[in-house]
Amino acid sequence: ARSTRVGGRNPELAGQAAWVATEKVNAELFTLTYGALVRQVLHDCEDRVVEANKKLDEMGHAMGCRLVEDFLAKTNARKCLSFKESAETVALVGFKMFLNLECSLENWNDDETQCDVRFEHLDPFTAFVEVPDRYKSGDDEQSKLKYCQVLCGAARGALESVGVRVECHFVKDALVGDPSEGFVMRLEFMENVEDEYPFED
Amino acid sequence: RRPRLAHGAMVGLATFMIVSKEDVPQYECDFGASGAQAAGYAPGGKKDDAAHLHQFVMHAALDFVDERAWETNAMNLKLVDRFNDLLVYAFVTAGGTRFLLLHDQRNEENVRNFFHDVHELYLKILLNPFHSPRAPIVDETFDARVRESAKRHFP
Repeated sequence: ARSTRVGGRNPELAGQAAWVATEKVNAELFTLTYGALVRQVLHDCEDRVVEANKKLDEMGHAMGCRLVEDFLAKTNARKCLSFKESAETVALVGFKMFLNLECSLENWNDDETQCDVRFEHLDPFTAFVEVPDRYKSGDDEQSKLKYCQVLCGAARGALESVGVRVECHFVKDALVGDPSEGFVMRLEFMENVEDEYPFED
Repeated sequence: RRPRLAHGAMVGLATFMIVSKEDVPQYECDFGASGAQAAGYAPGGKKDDAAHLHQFVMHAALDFVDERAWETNAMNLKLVDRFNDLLVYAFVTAGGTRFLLLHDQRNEENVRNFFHDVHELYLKILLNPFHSPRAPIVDETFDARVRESAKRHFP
């Protein structure tokens, strides 16, 4: 087994260490670029929100598949032995390392196959953003813009690349719902993907 | 430092406008009279006339704003035009958007602070990816904060 960067399993510490070691880019540049991206996707989909959400998820998925390689190379983390460990690695180390996002995992079910990831904020994506009414009206949650869907797609793509298929979406989205409820992402384990991956134990 | 206006001094009618680089109005805010006179709008017609006059004067001042903007690198152009007892102050943002303030009292310090506050608020609107640069600004929070700032700087 590979040794972990930090003694024992302490994902928060690992996340913090990884963030410190990573090259940084201007936060506002990131935020503005992401905003332009969402705007462009909506434009390309001719304001069809469902299609735009799907597109954002696909883009996130593609990014996640690549980012996981970078992540594994930089953090030297050991193989996760349970879904809980995988979820913690993605949320507490991964999100922290790439986006400096603080979050906590809560609401685990008995099987430990589903949890909620609660974010204090999603500022790298949502700073200064006000979603217009036309993208957040309607009773159907699916017809509302999922502004941060790229993040969900990335989590999904990253986990899929290491053999874990999940469902990932926001159950609480302050941009289109109640701002006081913040952002809560649901991570749900679906199945282990049987393929061989060239990662040593 | 200029002394602040004495408490209770009447500042009188003021209108604030944001005009885009292409001379398209994006936002307008009529403060009316402040303090004790706040409730006492003249009945119907007279107020409308006054509002129309203010708009006219401010649009007419745009030429002078452009002239002054050429002369200086600063964003705050201060007093740019005068019409009878109405004074027009202007501020030009980095992107060429004009803030115009119509006022009937000379008070450069307060106007400068007000413009600075509004500029910050304006930047936040601009940073919203869903805001088109030439679109009208309809955000209620923006409107509320502009009015708050006006109350603060023109007591």
